[in-house]
Amino acid sequence: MESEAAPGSASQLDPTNLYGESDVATIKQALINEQVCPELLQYQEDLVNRLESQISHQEAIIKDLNEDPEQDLLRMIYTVELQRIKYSLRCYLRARLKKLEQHVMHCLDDPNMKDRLSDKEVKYAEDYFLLLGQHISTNVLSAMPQDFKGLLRQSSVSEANDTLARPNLDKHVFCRVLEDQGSVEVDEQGETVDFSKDDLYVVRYRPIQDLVRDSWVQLI
Amino acid sequence: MFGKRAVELINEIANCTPENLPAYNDELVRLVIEEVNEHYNQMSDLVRSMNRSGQDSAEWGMEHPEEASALVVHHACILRNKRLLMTYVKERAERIKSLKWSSRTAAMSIRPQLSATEVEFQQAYDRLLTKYCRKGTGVGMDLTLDTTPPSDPELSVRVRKDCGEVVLPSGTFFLKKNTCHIMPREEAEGLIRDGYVEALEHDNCLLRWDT
Repeated sequence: MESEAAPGSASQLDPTNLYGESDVATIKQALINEQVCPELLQYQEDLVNRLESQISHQEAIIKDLNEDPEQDLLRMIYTVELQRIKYSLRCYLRARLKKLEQHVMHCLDDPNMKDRLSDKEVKYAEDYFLLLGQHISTNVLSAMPQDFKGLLRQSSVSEANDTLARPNLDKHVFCRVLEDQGSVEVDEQGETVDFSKDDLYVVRYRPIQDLVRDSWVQLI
Repeated sequence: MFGKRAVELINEIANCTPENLPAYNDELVRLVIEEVNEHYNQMSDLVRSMNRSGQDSAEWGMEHPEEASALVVHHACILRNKRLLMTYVKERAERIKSLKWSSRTAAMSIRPQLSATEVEFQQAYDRLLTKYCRKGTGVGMDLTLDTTPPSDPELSVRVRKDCGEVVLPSGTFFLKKNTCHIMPREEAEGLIRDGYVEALEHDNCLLRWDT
């Protein structure tokens, strides 16, 4: 991916976050986190809302510039910037949607996961689950013998929902440490590693799950 | 028997490139379902004979090891066949979905390979995604467009099929075959995907002239 907009540009998109980074940098990181992480992360509602209003603001500016041929270069620069941001935003939503479809039953099943979705995503997930479930039911399950008709259970004697696809939390990820963390336990045997600022690690996702959620660590 | 046929179904898809789909194998699906029912009947017979003996399952298993193991195998076969069938249907649905994301013309050309229920699924998924992309009910952006990081804001395209006057957000274009136009990348992408226009790679042409 290309680097974000140069700091000097007369951009309309420059409120900053906790670390003094612009929204553009934040959405870029959110996008990378979302693409790399095996499970769905918390939906960045405020960020997306802010970006959306800024996008429409910048669109209005570009429209005004359209009238004036002398401002062509400026209009070009604004347009490119706008397109990059729109691209990041779309990519972010796309990445989420893809994971949502993959683990749709898991996401709806677990109230914690459901909280991470936006309202629209919840609606989408419900509709999608219904659609896919019905499709599988009419093609396969309706023809199965009694006791084996369940969509979520292999048979009626299964103890739990055992046909759900779950994200593989033990997938390895690359990550960068943003703040000193001291020693962090990285496996079940209690082995620890010192996470200091700006360190890079390849590590299983599960032990750093909480650190990613609280933005102490970013994925790369 | 014992799941061989269902594996054939899966292999049919596995042997196909990811953007293609073999025709829905009605016949084989029916045979697998028959097989499942056969397993089920045999299993029910065994269960009935167990119940008749009046013993609890552990005791009965000790006394009739052959029947007990047959019961387990039949049960495992049903589960296996069920999983394989579900995978077959699901994997096909996944591919139908991915076509929606890549190209509309391909989505139409795959139609003859689909079963009636799959065509329904395709249409329903189409509606669902469109709803999610629309303003008001969804995010207000067409997520299927803009799949590569943007470079130039505008793109030169050559028209491949006559399509008359086309009104786009940036203006009206008269798209006559073999004419060239410059239009915003975002709007061009949809037309390219539908096969109406093709992108001209300006930079490459210039490079070739220079060297």
